[in-house]
Amino acid sequence: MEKNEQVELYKAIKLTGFKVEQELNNWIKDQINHTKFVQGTNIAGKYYVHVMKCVQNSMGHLFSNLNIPSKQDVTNIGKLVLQVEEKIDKVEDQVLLLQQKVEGLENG
Amino acid sequence: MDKKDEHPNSLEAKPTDLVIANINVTKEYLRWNGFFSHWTESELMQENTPREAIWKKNKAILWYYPTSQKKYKTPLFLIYSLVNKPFILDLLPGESVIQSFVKNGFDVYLLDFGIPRDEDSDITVDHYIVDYIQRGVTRALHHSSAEKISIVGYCLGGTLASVYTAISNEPIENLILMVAPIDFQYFPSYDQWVAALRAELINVDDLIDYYGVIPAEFVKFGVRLLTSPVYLSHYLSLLNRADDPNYVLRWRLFNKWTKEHIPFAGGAMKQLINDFVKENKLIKGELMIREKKVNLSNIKANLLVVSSNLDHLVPKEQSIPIIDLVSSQDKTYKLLQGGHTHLIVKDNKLPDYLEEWLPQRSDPL
Repeated sequence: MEKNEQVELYKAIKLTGFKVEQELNNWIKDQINHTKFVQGTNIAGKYYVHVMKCVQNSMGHLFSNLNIPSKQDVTNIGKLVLQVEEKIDKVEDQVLLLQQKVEGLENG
Repeated sequence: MDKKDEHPNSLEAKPTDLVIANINVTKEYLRWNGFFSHWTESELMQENTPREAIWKKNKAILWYYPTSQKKYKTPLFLIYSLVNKPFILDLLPGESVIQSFVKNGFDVYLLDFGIPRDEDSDITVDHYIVDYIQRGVTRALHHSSAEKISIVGYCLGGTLASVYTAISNEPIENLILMVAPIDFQYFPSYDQWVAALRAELINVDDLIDYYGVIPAEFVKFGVRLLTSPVYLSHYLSLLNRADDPNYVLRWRLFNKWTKEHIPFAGGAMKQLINDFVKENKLIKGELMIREKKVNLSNIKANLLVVSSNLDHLVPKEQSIPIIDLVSSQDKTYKLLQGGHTHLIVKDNKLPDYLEEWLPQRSDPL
C-alpha cells in the first residue's frame, strides 16, 4: 500500500460513512414524519402518563404510611429553599440600588 | 470536527518512523492507539480560562473572566443555550472562544444556567429572562462599572437574548445572535409533527407535567432526532486523524460536550413548545414576558446575526427574519460554512466574523 493510499483509505472510509449515515438519517426521519406515527405516539404518551401517575400516587401513599419522604417531599423542600433565595435576592437588589444611589450622591 | 484540514505531516513518514511494506507502522500504531484512547483513557479534565464567580442564583452562576490587557470599555455578556453545558465556549487553551475574547482585550461575563433539578420544574422562560438574564446583566454592569454592554447569545441562548433585549432597560450596545432560532414557522424536517402540534392534534403538556424536569437523556434524544438519529460518523473522523494527539484531545472534549446534555425545566419547555414553536409568538409580536409585550422592534442595539449553511438544528431561515423586525440602524448578517457549532477558534484570534465587527463597536480605550 502506498503512503498516500494509506491516508486516502481512511478519508474514503470517513466520507462513505458520512454518506451512509446521512441517507440512513433521512430515511428514519421520513419514516417518523407520518400523521399515523404522530397520532400513535400521542395516544401512547397519554397512556404512559396515566399509568405512571397512578404508580407515582400509589408510591406516595405507601411512603407516607411507612414514614419515608417521597421524591415529591424532597422536591417541595427544594422549592421552599428557592422561595427563600428569591426573597434574599430581592433584598440584595435593593441594597445594590441603594449602594448605587449613595455612590452617586458621594460623587456629587 | 469533520471539516478540518488534514494536518501537514499526514502524508509524510518521519525518518524515525517504522515503515514495512509501504505501511507506516508507527503512524498506524499512533492512529489506533489514539482512536481507542477514547474508551481506554480516563475522562478528560478541562482547563478553564481564569474566572471568578460574581453572582449565584439557584443553580446559575455568573462567571467573570477578566482580561489582563483591557482594550475595550464595553464588556461581553454571554448567554448559552439551555440544552448543553457551556464548557464548549472554553474548550481548550488556545482554541477557546472565551480565551480569545479575553486575550483580545474584552472583559467577559458568562451566565451559566446550571443543571435544573426536580425543584426547578416551575421555571419558565419569564424566569430565565427577568430573574436570571436581566439580573445577571445588572450585576455585570455594576461589577464592570461599564456604561454599555454587549450581549452574545448562542443557540437557544440567542433566542433568550433577543427576547431580553426587546424588553430590557439596560444599555445594550451590541446584540450578537449565534445560530439562534427566532422564527419557528420554518422547520427543515418533521413538518407533520409541527402541523399536528399547531392543529392541536398532539399535546405534550401532560407528559412534561408528569416529568416536571425533562431528563437529560430525553433532551439528548430529542436533539439527536432533529439532527442525526444515527450518529456514528464522528468516530470515522476520529479514526481518520487519530494519529494527531491534538486532534484526539479536541475530539474527545468536543464529544464529551455533545453527549452531556442537561435536563430542561418543564415550565420553560412548555412555554417554548406552545408560545414559540406552536404559535410563533415572538415573531408575531404577541409574546408576553411578565405582562410585558415583547416587541422585537424595540431592539435598537447594533445587531449581528450569524448562521451556518449546514446547520440542521437551527437553519438560517429561523435566524434571518429578526433582521427586518428590529429598529437597529447597524445590522449585519453572516452565513458561515459548516454545521451548528462554530465555537472553536485558532491561536486565540477572534473568530473571523467578529474580528472587525466587534472591536469597532465596543468603545476602544
